[in-house]
Amino acid sequence: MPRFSIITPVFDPPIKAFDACARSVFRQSYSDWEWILVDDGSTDREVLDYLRRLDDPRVRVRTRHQNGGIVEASNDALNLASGEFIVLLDHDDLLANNALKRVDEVLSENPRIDYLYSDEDKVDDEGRFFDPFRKPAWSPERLRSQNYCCHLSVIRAELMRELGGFRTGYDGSQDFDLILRITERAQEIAHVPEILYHWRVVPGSTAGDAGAKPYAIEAARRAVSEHLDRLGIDADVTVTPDLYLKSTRRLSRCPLVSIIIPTCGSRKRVWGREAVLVETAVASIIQRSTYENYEIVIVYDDPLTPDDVIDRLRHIAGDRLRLVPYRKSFNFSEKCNLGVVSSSGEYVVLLNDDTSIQSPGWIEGLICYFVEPDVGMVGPKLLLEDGRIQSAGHFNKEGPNNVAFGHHADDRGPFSVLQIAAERSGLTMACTAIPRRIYNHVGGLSPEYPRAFNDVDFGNKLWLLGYRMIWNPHVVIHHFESATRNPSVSPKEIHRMWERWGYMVNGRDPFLPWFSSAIHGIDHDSIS
Amino acid sequence: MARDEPDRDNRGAEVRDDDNPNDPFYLAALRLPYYANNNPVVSVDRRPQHVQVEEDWNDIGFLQLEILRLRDEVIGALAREGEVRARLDGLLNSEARWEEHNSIKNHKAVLAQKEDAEARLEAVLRSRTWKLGRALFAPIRLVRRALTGRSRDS
Repeated sequence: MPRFSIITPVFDPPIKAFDACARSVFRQSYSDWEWILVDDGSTDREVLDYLRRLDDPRVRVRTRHQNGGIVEASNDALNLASGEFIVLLDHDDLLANNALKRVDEVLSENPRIDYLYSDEDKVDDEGRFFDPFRKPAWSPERLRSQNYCCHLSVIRAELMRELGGFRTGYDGSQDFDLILRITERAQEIAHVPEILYHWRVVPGSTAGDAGAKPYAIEAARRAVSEHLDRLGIDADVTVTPDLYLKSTRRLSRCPLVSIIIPTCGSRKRVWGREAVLVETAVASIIQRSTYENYEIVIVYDDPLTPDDVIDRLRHIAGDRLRLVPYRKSFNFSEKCNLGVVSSSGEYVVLLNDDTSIQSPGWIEGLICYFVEPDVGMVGPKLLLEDGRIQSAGHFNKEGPNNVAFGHHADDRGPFSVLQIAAERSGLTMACTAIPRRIYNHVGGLSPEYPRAFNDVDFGNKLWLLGYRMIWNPHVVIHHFESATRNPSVSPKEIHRMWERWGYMVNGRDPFLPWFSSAIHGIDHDSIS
Repeated sequence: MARDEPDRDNRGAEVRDDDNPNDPFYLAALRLPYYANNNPVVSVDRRPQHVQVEEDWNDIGFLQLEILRLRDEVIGALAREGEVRARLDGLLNSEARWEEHNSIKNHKAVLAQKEDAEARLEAVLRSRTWKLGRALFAPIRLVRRALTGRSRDS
């Protein structure tokens, strides 16, 4: 039994590209493979001759006399395959010379891996490589918005057969549908952060224009919709103008949500008007929220907070308000913890007092992800007062950073990463939703970080215990950053952060590996 | 003698060696019978002196905060341990790399010495002095070969 069965459905590829594809297979530095080609009724004589001339004991060619489409041809190839793992290769694409060798090394290290994907780039007619896609570590929420795994995909043959191979009716997105079904069942999923596949760009191909095949987009939408059904997630899946998928989840119940706001009742000029920040925040919650069942827990510095602020908060929030006095020296983490233990909601939302809610469905948009028990925290898109992005989550590179700080609110980012909900390695505590059981499980915010890095520490604790953090760009909140207090960071906090998480925050970010901390955002140069 | 005077607590009651209020197990030992009888824990009027109690605490809230803090400490300790391990691995790796680097450097030095020696030998063989010397000594070599009976090819 060979280690790998490369399967390639063939239908009238440009002969030059097909030849390059074949050469890339024969050039593999790893030898234990077979190549199954299923010709799906090609009419090009050159292609048919080329297939006849392929003379290698490891190559098997099957000819279908009628064109049955890519799904049928791929399934025929799967039926002929005898390898332990199936490697998907399109008839005009290229494998990197060391692709199978590298994959074998990773699979040999962990026998539980059922599915593996690698980074990829594109190749043009002249054989020039461009548009490298540095992919995230396994990121299931992102996969629901875009088939980021795509090429190279290597699947355990036994599991693929168990799931019935490719499904008819998903032409154009049959691989996406397969990946969704495989990853639901895979014991372990691996990502090889190396470009092992070169995707050919020709006029009319999906590689060059995602909108070239509208039927494929509709098939992708259906595939994600059914995937969510299988997981018991009630959601509407729609196609965005950018041709990515957006899942709008519906809540089956309306549990109590506790919104915790630490404050000292400070004032600031916001949008040209002098205002008490906490009053602005609470008013925006009351005015804009469509969710019914919530309480607002204000943890106020006593006696620093003016009495008239407390009185006005009572007037604005009415019965929803709970007031918790805090009588120690400033410690943001302790204030949040006190707010949480004084509240009673199933979910807690930590909200800074220097914020203003923009999206009416913000609570629903944050807590809807908790139907999956491994989601530990969800955060929104945070905008500065002037409308630029304050945070699109955190990423690690030479320390923790805010993703896309200072970028235009509508910036799509590479591969639309700023437009789609996806996993992050951390989120800004200015606004995050957390299930109470998980908040308790990780020990809340660490009092060792009174001012800064409490969110970085909290996110890392979640990561350590295996929880996912999701950034949802469809919920928008303004954050008048550090308006309430001095944004300085104490050396003690820096020391503690490095003592606990130095390697993690200094390493390559698992979800946004191409980001640069130098400009607090996307380093477009480094990815092109 | 003062030594014979019994120890007394802050209320003046006699304290025996086996019920020292500073012993952390003392309080638990006092409470055990109540647990055993499934009775509610009653207040204990003699407290170990090292236990500090806040006056205005809210029992449940305080305990919840303490649990959070302790969990944070446990996870923080795990993280620190991971950091130390990672740093240790890093150091060991860098040490291994350093050794590898040194052996490569040594290897390179030996190679360089060999190449240098070869070059010098080549230069000697190509020098006029060497060629002249060989020419001068050629008859002597021929005589020696004839005397020893060896041919040039043997």
